[in-house]
Amino acid sequence: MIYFAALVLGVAFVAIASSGCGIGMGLCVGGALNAMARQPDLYGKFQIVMFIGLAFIESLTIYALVISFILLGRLPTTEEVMEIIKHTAK
Amino acid sequence: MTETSQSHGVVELPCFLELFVGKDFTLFGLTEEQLVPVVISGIIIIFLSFLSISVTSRLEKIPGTMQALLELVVEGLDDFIESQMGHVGRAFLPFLGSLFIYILFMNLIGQIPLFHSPTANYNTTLALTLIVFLVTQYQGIKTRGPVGYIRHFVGDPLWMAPIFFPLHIIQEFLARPLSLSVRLFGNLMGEHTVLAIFIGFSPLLLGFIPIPIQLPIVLLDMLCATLQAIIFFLLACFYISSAMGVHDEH
Repeated sequence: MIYFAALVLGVAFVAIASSGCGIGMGLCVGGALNAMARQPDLYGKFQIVMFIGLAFIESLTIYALVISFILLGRLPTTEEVMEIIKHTAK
Repeated sequence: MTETSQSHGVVELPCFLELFVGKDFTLFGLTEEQLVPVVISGIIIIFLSFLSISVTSRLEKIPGTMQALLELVVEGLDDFIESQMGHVGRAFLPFLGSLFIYILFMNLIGQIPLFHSPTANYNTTLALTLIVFLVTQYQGIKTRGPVGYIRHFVGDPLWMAPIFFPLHIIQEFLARPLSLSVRLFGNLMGEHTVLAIFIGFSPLLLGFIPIPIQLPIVLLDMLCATLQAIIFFLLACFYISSAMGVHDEH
């Protein structure tokens, strides 16, 4: 049972990865806005590079999402867990 | 209409293939669930081939609507590839351009009801990544020669070889293909799962009229799909050009 509890906690805690990615995306957009404010006529170039940077940082959060999906597949269904609880409570 | 798949516990939307064949249909050892990406990829390939053949067989000096649209797309891709890879890279316009249009269509077709994106399956994105990987290795060996290619792994100051060589090996054979495939797969599968969950949550007005609250997620999904196709295309350009040595300083 401890194994399943640890697995469920692992599925939930892997979402902490998005905090660092959120900070990184904020820095990226902040830098892009700073550059756009200094040189407004290069607005198009900055926008393209900002979107590319955002997609790279977002992919790091996506790795964590994929890991959580893989772990989610190893969890038992609720009926099996109820069976285990019934057997151990006897 | 969302159904829970027994193997993963994530919700999935139905596909049009379920209307034609039953649940226990196997073709060449693939179940019906595994045949969905193959069939939809085939439909996209046939559609794109017919579109391009029918437009390019009747080229005129003053273009009609479809020809002007395709010229816009091809010229845009040509400028982008030339800005990334230089003059050497213009030979890659057919390969990389069709890769981009193929991935864009595959990402966007998931938004049509009763269709699944083939790229929401890891097999499709892994196959695309392996094709790009083989092309980069082949181009690198062809441009630099086998000895020159391994010499390129070592890096410019030769005394830094113990640092650069393992880093380059891991980056070239592990990190780059893995990240390229997982990025495309994870983005699309995550978006489709969020969409399915939102559709499951939609409230019913007066008890029987469904309210489509998944509309903002659909728009976000289309933006994300286009962006991921552009990112895959950009990274393929960059990997091929760095293997060929376009960006090196002499």
